[in-house]
Amino acid sequence: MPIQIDVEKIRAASQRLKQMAPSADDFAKDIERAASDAKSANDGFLTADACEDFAERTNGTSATLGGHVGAMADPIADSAKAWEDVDEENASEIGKQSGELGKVKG
Amino acid sequence: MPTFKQAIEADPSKFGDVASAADRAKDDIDGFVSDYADCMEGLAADWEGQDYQAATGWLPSVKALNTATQSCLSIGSATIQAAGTAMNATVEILKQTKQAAESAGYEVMDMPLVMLGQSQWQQVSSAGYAAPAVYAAYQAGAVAFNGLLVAQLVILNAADVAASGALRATAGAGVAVGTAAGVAQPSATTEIANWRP
Repeated sequence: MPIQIDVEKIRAASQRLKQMAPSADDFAKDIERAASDAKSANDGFLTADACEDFAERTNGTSATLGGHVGAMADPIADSAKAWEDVDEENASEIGKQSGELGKVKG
Repeated sequence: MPTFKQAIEADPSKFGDVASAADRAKDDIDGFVSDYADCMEGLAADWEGQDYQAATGWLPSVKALNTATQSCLSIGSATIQAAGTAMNATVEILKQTKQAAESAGYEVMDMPLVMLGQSQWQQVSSAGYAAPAVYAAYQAGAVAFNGLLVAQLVILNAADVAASGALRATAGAGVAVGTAAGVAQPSATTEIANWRP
């Protein structure tokens, strides 16, 4: 089966991942702020502490997801580069060949 | 567990804001993972080979993390919302009971302890030979108010303990999920082809 690679599209995807990854940093901001407000308004409540933990977990999960997506970006760009290099190597081999062929013809 | 004084000064309606923030985080995370999946799956026609297989091999674990996070945030939001509403109602009853006692002339201490207020003592002391009866009547009222306040405080504390326990159980599920996802964390310096989901 022939392998078809669109290097530009792979690069675009890598760019998109790189751009979207930092947005995950903000996902837990609201809940962290709300939990902190709820705690100052409800002194002594166990639920207030539990809310803060809950917000922290939400932040941890967001960071994990953002970190994963961000970490994918570079290797994907590297893969695009690798495919491009292979393509160029092959092209130069064929170029040499056609040079030889040209000599034969001449 | 709030003391009587803390309960009277509390505003459990603020827990509702935490619940709606949890709902927003839930939607944000879902949209993020869905965008990520679209981006990776959208490359299928333009990228083949071991690298693509390895890169998309991460998708199932990322999607599983999202599924677990969605239910964790849903349950957590519902727990916080319900507990906040219930505790707010109890705090309102406590405040109203305190006010009722105070407008009847009683003084409510922080314990909570309802005792005769100044005007009531004045009535007792000016009652002359009827003083013991007046005192007994007011004291019976104090005991009744005290019972109401203590009962509401017990209800409030029971709700607080139950809600925090339920929420911690939910957050605990989040920890397990977070750890599982930690395993699925690719290193930027690792060749994609060497990764195994």
